[in-house]
Amino acid sequence: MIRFLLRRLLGAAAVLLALAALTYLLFYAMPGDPAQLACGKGCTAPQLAQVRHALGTDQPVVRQFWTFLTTLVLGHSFSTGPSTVWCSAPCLGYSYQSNEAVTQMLLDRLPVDVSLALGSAALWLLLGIGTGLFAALKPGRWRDRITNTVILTLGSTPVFVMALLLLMGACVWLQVLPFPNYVPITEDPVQWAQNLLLPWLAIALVSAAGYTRLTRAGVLETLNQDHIRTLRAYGYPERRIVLRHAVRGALPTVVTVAAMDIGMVLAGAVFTETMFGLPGLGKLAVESAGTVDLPVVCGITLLAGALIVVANTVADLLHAALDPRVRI
Amino acid sequence: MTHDLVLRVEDLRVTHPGPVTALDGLSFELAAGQVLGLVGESGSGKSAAALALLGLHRGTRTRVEGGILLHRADRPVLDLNQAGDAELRTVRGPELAMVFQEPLTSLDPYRRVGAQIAAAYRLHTGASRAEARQRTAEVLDRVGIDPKRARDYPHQFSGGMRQRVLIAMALALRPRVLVADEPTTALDVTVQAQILRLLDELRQETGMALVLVSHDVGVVGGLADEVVVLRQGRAVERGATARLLGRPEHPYTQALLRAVPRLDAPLPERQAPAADDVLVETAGLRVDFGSVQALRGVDLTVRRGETLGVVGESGSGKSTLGRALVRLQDPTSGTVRFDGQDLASWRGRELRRRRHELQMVFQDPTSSLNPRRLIGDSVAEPLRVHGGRDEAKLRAEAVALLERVGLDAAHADRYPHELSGGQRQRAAIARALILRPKLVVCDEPVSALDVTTQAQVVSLLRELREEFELTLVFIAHDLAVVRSVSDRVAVMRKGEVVETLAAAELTRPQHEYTRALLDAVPRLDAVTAG
Amino acid sequence: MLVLVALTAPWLAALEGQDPNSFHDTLLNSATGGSPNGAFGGISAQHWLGVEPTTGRDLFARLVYGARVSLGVAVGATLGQLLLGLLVGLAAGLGGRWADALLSRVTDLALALPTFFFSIALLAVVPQSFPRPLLLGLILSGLGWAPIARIVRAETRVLREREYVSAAVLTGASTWRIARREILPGLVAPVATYTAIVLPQNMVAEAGLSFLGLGVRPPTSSWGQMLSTATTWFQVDPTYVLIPALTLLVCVLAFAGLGEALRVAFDPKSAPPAAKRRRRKAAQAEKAERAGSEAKATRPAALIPAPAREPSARGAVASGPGASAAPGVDANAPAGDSAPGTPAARTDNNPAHSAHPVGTKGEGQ
Repeated sequence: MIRFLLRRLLGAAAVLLALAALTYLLFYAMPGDPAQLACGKGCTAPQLAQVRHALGTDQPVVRQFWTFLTTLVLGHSFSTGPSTVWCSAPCLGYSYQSNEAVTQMLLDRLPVDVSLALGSAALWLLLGIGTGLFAALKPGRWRDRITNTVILTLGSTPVFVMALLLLMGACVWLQVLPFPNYVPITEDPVQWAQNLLLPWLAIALVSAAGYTRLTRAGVLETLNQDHIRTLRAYGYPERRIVLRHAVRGALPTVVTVAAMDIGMVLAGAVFTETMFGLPGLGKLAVESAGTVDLPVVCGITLLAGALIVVANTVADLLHAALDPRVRI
Repeated sequence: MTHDLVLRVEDLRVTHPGPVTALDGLSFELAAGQVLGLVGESGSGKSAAALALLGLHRGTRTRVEGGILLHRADRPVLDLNQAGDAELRTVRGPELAMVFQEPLTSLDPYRRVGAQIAAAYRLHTGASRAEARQRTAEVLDRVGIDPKRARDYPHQFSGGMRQRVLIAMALALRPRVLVADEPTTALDVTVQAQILRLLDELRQETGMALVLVSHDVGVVGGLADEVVVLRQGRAVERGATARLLGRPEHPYTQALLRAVPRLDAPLPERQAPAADDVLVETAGLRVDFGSVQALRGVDLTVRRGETLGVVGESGSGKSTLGRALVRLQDPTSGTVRFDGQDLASWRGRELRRRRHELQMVFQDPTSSLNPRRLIGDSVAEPLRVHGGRDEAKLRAEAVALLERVGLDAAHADRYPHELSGGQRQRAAIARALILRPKLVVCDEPVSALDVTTQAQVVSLLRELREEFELTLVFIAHDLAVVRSVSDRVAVMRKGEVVETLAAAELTRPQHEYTRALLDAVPRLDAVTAG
Repeated sequence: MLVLVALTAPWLAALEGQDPNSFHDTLLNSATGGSPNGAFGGISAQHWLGVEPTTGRDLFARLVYGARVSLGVAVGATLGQLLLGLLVGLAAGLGGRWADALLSRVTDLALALPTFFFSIALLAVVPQSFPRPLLLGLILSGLGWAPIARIVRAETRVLREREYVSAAVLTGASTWRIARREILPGLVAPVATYTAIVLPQNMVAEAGLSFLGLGVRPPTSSWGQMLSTATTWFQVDPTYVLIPALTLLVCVLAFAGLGEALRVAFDPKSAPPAAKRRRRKAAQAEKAERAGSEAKATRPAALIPAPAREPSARGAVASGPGASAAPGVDANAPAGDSAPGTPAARTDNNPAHSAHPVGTKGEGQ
């Protein structure tokens, strides 16, 4: 078990390193001068040289990447003209546009994504597993077919269309909810939940479809397996077979996929945040991309990659924990 | 033996949607302690019958008609086919229990085996957890499993041990009838013998009746008091075991028994090939798959024109040996010399040019032909690889060979799944022969086939080896089949050849392992003599 | 149908008599900041779906022209992904141990990429002068090939172990010939199914990126771009929002439905009519054989073969995004007493990895 864990963690670390290299190369070794971009418009030549030096782009690429890595691990100081700012580890760089350390910017945004991810995950699991079971109990009947159709429709709706429709429906026509406006949970939990309800719904409605299918397929597949026949041969009631044993068979996959999906939302729900004006990572990414604030974009990409890798690793471990056959 | 009637089956019919009649009127009576054998080839309806006894067709679109009358002391007779679901459930387990063919998948992979036995026990007895645990330990101990292993998961057990667990689960509830559907088909012959012995002991101890379903006349013959022979859903013959096997009356039963390969059958006269004309020779052949050693130094010679049989149980490395002989598997160390040349020295173009001298016939006729290509196309493909361009000529050649192996031109235009297993195996043989190979390795060529088909394919191979001057390596787990085609037989165990004997000497082995294998084979002669 | 609309866009627009880029100030109400006159966003006989606020450009014309961009990018990206995925997957599946290890790690890495952020970032970095639709296609294919590669590799590995492939090796066929004649036909079903899943995803991705203002930019129209401009108007002119939104939705649904149909058609469990017919033929073969033997009562016949099993590793695709075939977790460990059941699962075959397409399912990645 420990060897298994170690191997997984090592693998994850390797992927992260490769990810960092790739991200770095993409953004800093691209044609176009990042110093020029970082410096902004109306930048004079000496200023540009100074920024270039500060960024280290006057050095060879490998050297730059090494600096980038050491910065990440050890921290680094950035000169912002008059003063010097110490950016402590884990330092993802410094945004000259907003005069802030990237790590701090990301940390400020993260609670929004955590709120989003946890709330919507709870909703979509409830919806998805519920409808999946509902459909699996009587496969092939009308209620299975209706569930299927509804799920297919919801599941293939682009999330921004879903968000838009929800917004128009709830805030404009029915006016049952205020236009969402993020309130931290520490300030007012009720307001927090009320404002996040629509974003949660938007993500959950779209994501639940996958879980409906997974649950339904998993349960039906398990029901076709030989060990279920054994249970029937021993007179287990059908309901108990479905709810206890077939669900158990579908569980590892559902949990694994959920872990990864949660990672995805944590890494930034771009559309939902943009649509509902939530100040999360996704919105930050879009804004920074718009103003070409490279350190921020790069930082978010790296963080998102890290979150996804971590989520995948967690998913693997959960899978191993839930399936006794996967023990190393 | 007591004669308390426990089960009477009257005119049982099972119809699959279609409608396809799987079972067409089966009747029998079963008394406590009695063993009834249901024998038949695939499609005979024997498994459909077994499932019907426990009402396991319910909830599917399969229809079951007829009476399944369960006799119980002090209680009215219950017709299981008429009983409500709830009532049927109370009977499943305590009255009728079942052991299935696939021990590997018949246990819940997510739960410990002890918990599974205990849960079934508690479901019907309402016993406390401690009592259930106690009973679980008892029955595990009885079937020969250390009760401490109750906390292990199914995947930690081998196939035979899992079958023991399933028997223990049945035993826990002291059923009066145990239905065993091909309980040993997935198991090696030595394990099969142990399981059959266990079932017999339990029957004697507890007085439960046994319905034993199998395709293997030998398995049924060794245990059953009475045998019913099924064919396409109909019971063609029934009778006391010794009489039925000794003096079969129905032509089908006679043919079935004649097709069963026997270790005491006379061997056909055959000119033994010269001992010094060696076609293939392996020296110190080793193959490792990671940490698993599939072959641990095999030294073997195959003489030109002979048929060398290779027998062994699963995991003995016999298939790996076969693949190494035709260079589908590169050895970790050691050599295979073919016609005086080291096979490993063939490279690139030379390898591709000469490969056709070594061919193989595989076990599974469902996967040995490309499902998306016509039979004729598959058979002619080797000719195309070797430069054949004239499609009409290629086809003519393919059809000629198909006709030689017992198919006809119409089969050339079918897809593999439109053919029966035996037909597919014939087509695969034709494909192997079309390039006139020197050596053909047959890896379990008949083990997926019914016994009558098996006999036909074996005799086809016998004819072809003379006609095409083939050297054959015939790999199988069934000693009797191997003996019937081979000149010499190599016995393998755990990656080593334990001994090599002339086929005629196989029943008088030197090595104790060979003797153990022989002893485990169910014998028909013992039954019919007694 | 949709493809038809895209191809005939100029004529359709001409039929309506409007141009996608000409302004019609006269139809706008300057008092409300430029919202269209008339009900439902200014729908009229001249402007079938109304006009765009502020500019007064014709919506129907923009919609049909937008279809070209949206579909073009989606189809192009899908083809790119397919090509790359097939190449990498086949090379990994048929190549030696090292090639496989290397390519599989690369695929793993590509799967771990936060695809959406990468596209956002790339779109921000690449100069504006580069044609956007082409760039979108390139980015989407460059970042989205990994799931296909993984499926192709897994399926190739399964097929490669088939005995008919071994038989082909024994005839002396070259690797390339085997790939072409024995393996590729077996890949058609899973790849086609997956393509049908990916195509709408690419469509959504394009729409999404354009929606964020990073993809296609005005005056070129695409549905995402139209939606993007429309959102600012949804309080005043809901029709303007609903038109591109619903078009996109219907379109994606159509493709998703197609994908679902394909999936069902290729799923061996829900036997399509053709397969049933074949099976019946096989049953007839059995019967004929038996009848033949009936005549010579002493030579009874081969009986029903196991129904032809289709490759099962297709599960990865079969249940759509996130479903799992768990190829490693196979209870059918070796039979017999000599070997204890092997703990079969190799963790790198975890369904989690094999099956989750990093497309744009739901939220941004």
